[in-house]
Amino acid sequence: MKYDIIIVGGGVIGLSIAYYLKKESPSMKIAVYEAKYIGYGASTRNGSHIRVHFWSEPNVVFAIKSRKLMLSLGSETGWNPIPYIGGYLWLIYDEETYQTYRSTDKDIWKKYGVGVEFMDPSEVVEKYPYLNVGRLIAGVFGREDGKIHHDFVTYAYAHKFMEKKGIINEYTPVQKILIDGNRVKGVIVSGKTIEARKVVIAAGAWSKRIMKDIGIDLPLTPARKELSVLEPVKFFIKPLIIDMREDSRGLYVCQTPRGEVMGSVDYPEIRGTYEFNNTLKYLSTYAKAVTRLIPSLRKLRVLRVWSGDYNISIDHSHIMGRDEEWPEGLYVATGYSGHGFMMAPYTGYLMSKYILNDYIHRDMEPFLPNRFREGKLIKEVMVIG
Amino acid sequence: MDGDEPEPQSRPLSVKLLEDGIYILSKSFKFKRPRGVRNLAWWGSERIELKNGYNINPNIVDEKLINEIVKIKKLGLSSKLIWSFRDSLGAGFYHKKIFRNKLVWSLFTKMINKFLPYPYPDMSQSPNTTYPLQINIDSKFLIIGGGISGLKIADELSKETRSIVILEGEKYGVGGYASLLNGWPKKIQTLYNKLRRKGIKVINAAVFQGFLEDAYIAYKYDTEQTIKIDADAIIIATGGYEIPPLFENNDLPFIFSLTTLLKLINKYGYTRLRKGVIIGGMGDLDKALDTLIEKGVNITVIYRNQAPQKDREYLDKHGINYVEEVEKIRTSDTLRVKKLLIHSSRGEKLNLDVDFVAYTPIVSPDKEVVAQLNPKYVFDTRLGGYIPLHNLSGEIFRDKNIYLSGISGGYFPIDTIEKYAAIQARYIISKALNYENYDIYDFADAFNEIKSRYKELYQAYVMMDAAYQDSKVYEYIDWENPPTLFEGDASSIFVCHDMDVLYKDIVRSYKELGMWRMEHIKRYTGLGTGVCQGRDCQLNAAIILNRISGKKFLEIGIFRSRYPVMPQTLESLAGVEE
Repeated sequence: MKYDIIIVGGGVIGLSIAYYLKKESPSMKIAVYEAKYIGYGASTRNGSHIRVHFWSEPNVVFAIKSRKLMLSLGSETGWNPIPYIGGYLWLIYDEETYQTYRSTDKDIWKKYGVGVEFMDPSEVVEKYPYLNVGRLIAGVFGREDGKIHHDFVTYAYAHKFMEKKGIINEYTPVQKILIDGNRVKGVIVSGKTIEARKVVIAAGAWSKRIMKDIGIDLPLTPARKELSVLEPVKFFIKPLIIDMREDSRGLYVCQTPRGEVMGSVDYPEIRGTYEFNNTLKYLSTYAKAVTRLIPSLRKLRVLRVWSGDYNISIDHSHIMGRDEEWPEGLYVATGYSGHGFMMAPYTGYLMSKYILNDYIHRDMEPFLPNRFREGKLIKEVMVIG
Repeated sequence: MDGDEPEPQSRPLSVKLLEDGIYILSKSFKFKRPRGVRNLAWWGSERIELKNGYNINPNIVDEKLINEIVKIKKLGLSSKLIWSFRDSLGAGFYHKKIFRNKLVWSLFTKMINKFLPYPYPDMSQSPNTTYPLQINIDSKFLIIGGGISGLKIADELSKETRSIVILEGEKYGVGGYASLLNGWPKKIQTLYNKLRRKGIKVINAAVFQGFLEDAYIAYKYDTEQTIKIDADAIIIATGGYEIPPLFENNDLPFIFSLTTLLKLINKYGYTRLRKGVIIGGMGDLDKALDTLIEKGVNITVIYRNQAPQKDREYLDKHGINYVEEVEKIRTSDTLRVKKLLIHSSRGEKLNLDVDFVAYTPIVSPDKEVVAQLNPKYVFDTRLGGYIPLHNLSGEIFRDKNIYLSGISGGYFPIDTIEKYAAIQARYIISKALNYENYDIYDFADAFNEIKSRYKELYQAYVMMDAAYQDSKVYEYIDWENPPTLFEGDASSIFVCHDMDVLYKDIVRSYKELGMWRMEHIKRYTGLGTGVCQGRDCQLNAAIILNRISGKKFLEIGIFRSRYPVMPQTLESLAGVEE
């Protein structure tokens, strides 16, 4: 068996890369190997949101373009990912954070046309009467952000990729990446060698281990995050709301268009790849925090809980492309630090250009893996949840 | 009944739907609330008919919405669009076709609240930090399920310790099969009274919520309190599971387990089941038949082999018709099957008019609780319930002290249950209380006894074992001539009642997109993401997928039924102390 390109990982990142590669070069033989079913990891376990408001210029630029591609996905693939652009609302309780938002807005967001709206507490209360905001300093509203059906994005890529004779293998974990001298030779699957000229690692939380096997250490730490959904009620929480009170433990809450209220807190902090289980610690902490912020949720019932991964990189920004010191033909797209779903479309678009033509777009340059070696880290700290 | 009179049950939506001629494959009896958007596309007898076939359920949709729909029509949208719009509401929100159209989607998002048949939450709640009190259980043994099996194990355990708590989901008295009959069997009543005299605590209206990583909790739903459990050993005795298997053109006659039949008739007061067939051979039929005869239901009992002597005596005494050594059951192939053809190897041929078929064998235990553990394991138990036979000790985790009672009162004769319970209880005592040299039963002997004494049971297990491997399901059906799938208008058959996923949605997912893994069906259609979390609908979906794709059950797989078993209020969780 011989392929031009093998993609390790059938999540939204791997499939987006596969989709754009096929689109650019339909005759190319491309296979995706997925250890479980497509979307098994963070792709199906995320909060299904997109946003453009990051704290570093490279991420803002990347996210704006990714958002644009995401919103045109419907007409491009026939799968409308049913977007609802309801915005993000940050509730800010201390002066220092407030000033950071002010300066980021002035220096970065406005520059790219995604300036935010600052509201004083009375405006917030008037506009969102269901919130109990306590000693709020300000609300910050990002209009461009919103929700999108994450599964449909994954399926759209997979469906279109397969339509063009792309191959997706589910339940076929890649055991090893084969390196011959200074070149990638292929992968080993179920004890068999599958040859390929190029191999892309897009295995989410499992990328670190795969790369480590061939002697490359990426500065990544997976973190398990828990989420829950309440029974549906009429749609009243339009934006995604982030409560920045210290004791809210990174609470965010939103409502899906079908009425289910979804949210999370950053507790308990669990690092590493663990089973996707849930804890009472999470449930009770979340319940306390969310009923304080929105008291009308008190009597609503928890319908289901689940957990997923953030694959957190040292500078909270993803790693894409390759380092010239690596074996030839080896690429990565990983370490999205909780933003993988929203960054997937532009990742696929840029990676396909890079893999096929060796073309490094300027938007992707800051995210190349050699930044760790050269000490050019991205100054990104905005990770939600 | 020891002073505890059961409260009359209100009739759940499922029964109403059945009576309106809407057939549901997954029956979520426990939760009485409709969730699906399909309530808007209604074809029940009380419907409001708009032009172009747009029907509305007057019970759920208000006048405002109807006006809104009329307004859309005035906008000049074609009736075809409205039809497809109605259609699109089918699989939750997530059916693809109509929402491919951006204009429709943006219109829809603007009108979202009109289309969601849910209320607003109580907006008058004020912020406060007083939460419902938490109940703490600290005992040596916790038994989940207060049916015959749970009671009997408690009885055995109580010989060693009184530190036993039983959680029962019913609001009053015992649970399980006995609670469906007209009066508890005498043995159960005696047992119940005995346990109460011994001071063993039964907490009613309490649902075990499943296995979190850091705690075991249950939920007392009548008072909306969290129960936090600290026990040395947990014994799951949550009984049998009603699976309505897919027969050829599975719309009618209604086919379900005897437990479901009793629930419908005796608990929920469903009145349209007047005559039918019970596939017998396993449990004690007498109490169930007593109950059904009293309701005036006309029954024929059929047996795959010979009827047990006990059954024969009872049937003869009451003049109930029965057929032994049945080889084949066929249904007529018209849309609404009313006739059942039964052939026995003795040459008997029966041509019956029926409203239902109920079966006693082939159940799987403990669906809701065990469903929280490990999907593969649950699939085993769901498809055959043969684990207790393979593993009579009931031990499901070597290191966790959680045991599974594989004995279901609805399907086993009482003396079998007693024997099982004794075997299990002694084993559990020896393990959980670290008793060394404790006299435990020899499981191999018990296994052989079942094999020789309960041939039907053993056969059913073997059959299900084979079915699990070979992707055949029920041998009672004539699988030689493969059944055709429902090709006509299957729009009125629900598979997932919570998320309104229809039979045809699953067929479509496979035919149009080649999806046949359960994980993908779940994400694409929304199946099993509602209250039941797949506990009710997954098996049927798996059978449908198996029939259309030919894939084995193991390949189709199942998704994880997520915590909790019963939806639980946020405030009850907010009050939990760590």
